[in-house]
Amino acid sequence: MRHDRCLQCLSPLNTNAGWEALFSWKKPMLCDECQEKLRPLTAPWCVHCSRPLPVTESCGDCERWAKTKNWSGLLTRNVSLFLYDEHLQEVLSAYKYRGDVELAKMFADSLKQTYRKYFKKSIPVPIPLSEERLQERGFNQAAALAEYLPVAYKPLLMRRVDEAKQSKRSRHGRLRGHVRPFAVREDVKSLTGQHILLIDDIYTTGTTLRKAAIPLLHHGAGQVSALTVARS
Amino acid sequence: MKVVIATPRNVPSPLMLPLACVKDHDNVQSDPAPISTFTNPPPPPSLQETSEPLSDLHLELQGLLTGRALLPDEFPFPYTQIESFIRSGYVYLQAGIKRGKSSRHQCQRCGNTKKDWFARYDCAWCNGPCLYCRRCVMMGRVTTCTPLFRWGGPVFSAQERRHDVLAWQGELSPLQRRAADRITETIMQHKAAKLLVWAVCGAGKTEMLFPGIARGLEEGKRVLIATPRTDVVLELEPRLRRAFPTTTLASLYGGSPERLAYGQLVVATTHQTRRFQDAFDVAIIDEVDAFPYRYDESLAYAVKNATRKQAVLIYLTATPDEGLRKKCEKEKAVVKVSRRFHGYPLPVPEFQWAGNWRKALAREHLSPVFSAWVDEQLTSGRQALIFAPSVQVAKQLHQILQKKETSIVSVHASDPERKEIVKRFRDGEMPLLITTTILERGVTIYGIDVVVLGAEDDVFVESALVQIAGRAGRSADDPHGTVTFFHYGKTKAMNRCRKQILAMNRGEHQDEA
Ligand SMILES: [Zn+2]
Ligand SMILES: [Zn+2]
Ligand SMILES: [Zn+2]
Ligand SMILES: [Zn+2]
Repeated sequence: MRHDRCLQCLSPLNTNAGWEALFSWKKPMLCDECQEKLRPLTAPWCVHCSRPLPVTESCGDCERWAKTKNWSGLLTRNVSLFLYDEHLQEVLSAYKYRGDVELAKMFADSLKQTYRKYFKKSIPVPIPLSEERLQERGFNQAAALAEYLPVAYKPLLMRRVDEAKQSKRSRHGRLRGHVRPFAVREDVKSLTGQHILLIDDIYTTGTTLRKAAIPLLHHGAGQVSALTVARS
Repeated sequence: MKVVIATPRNVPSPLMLPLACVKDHDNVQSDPAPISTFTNPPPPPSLQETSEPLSDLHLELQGLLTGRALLPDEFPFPYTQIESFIRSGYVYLQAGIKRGKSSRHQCQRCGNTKKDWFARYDCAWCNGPCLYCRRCVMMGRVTTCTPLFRWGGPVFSAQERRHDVLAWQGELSPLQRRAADRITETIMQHKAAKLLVWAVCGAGKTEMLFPGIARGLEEGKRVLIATPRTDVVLELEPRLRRAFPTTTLASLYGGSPERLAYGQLVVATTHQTRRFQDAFDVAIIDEVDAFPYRYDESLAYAVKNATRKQAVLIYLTATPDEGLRKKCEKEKAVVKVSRRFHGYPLPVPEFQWAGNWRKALAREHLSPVFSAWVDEQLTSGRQALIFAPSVQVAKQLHQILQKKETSIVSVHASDPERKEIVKRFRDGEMPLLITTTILERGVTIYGIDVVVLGAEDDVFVESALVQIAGRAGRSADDPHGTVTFFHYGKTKAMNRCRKQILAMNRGEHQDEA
């Protein structure tokens, strides 16, 4: 796909848009307007989950995770690229539910940069969908994002149940973390000491990512982090 | 969804069936596979004439699939229920994207052949790299491996002739009458024809269409009104329903409940127009150059696909683009309406230097001139629309103005509560409404003033400004709304907008014809 149009709104890209474009090797993916609507997350923020904070420290939720039995230490850190505001919500729903897979490209540069900045040498693993959900959607939104990382991702995980299905189960069971939706694929050898980087579209509470970390750590991973597009 | 090639017993040639429809007596000739696997699929079986009366299901399928293609997701029947229609060729399956000569692709739903609009992805349906069409993806993803359900039988056509389909009894002004007659004439030519209706904002375009649409419908023609905006569809629908109470009307926009209903009269957004092929005898294209689609040649394309070869095209606009204007002028196919239906001139925009209003906003201040205007407006008790160049500006402005008057709201294109907010503004629940460009066209609110903050911004091209100015003074009771462009440097677009409005008011616009 050529990019003389904005990836998102499809209006033609202004090719002589100032010095920046003139001296940049890459063509921009988005028009200025669409680009401006994305709100990149930067410090001050929570060092563990990228939540915006007045000063850089650990946020209340992350403190709670750290103190909760069975849940502490599962996820080393999560870095999210953009604030999950109304605009990004719309973009991600066009991406995920309407199935405009190409939209993943608009995050490509940020994904690459963030990987190089924080997660060098880690092995990217997209959060999988259950087979049923995958057939419904036709693609895995996390894997399509992971394709833009500078290293190849590995599909180490499989998913037995979807969140929506889980919610039908007893709330009690869920809260106690008894549901184990993820497992390491059978053909995966030990992950001795490796740094695994989970890839997903949104970090909401971090529960899903932590659940995905459990089997990986059991399988010998040294640590598990996460890289997500949006932080709500 | 998987399909197979099979030859049923006692049938000479093979056909393509959904896997679910395969029976024991079928001689199956392929593995079940995505439709894209079959590079040379057998043609649908030739139709058997039948003298039996058509079943309800037949009529339903005919209405559903005439002139459009549906995705498996959208198809409302279990495949087994329509199996006999597939075996007899009345319904057939077609790959969503056709691989044409010299690797040119074509989306079989929207007709797209532009390379830019196809994207490649790793597809879980066919387990490999696959193409999908981005141009119509908002209606569900059409991929190389997705089958489309199509109608192979005789098309759902011409309702019999009817009489007196128009219930509207309003009166047209002489200028409106003249345009209405041209529209009717063009529609009744029964051959390919076009007409550009160049009417100022507030000319009462919709009413001018009624007589022509009515005659077309009475002749059994199928009529489309296409517009880029959901707002306009929502506004037109009830008016059309009242005007044509006995006509099947479908209003189609993203998420509308009638998405799959048949209508002899259809009012649809650009996106939804892409669903149709060869379906309409008359297409009325409202606001042909509307923002943000001014870049987008695809409304014209969608309409071309949706209409029959001999269709009549009526273009409605206040600000025609030059290409279209010249083409229509050459064919003497232009009719102009340079007065509003109430006969008053258009409000002429006044320019007000607002200094570096952006810098002020960033410090949570208003530029003094603009601030003075707000105060005056609030005391006057008149409602006003404030146009902002971006959502960001709208939000900043909203924060400041809320301190003056808490009921003030800001609304933008992707605001889920947009409909509700506009309604509340119409009902007079707030004195000022801040908006990005969404309300600039088609939406009528009576008796308001209009201002633009930052009229120098690039988003405000000439035609957008003309449309924005056209929001004011729409009512005969209150024809003198004011229009003010607050700016930080006059632009060509602003000057040309003013000139265009002055010319129309002098009637020059009409004399050219
Ligand atoms: Zn854009
Ligand atoms: Zn945190
Ligand atoms: Zn298409
Ligand atoms: Zn596919």
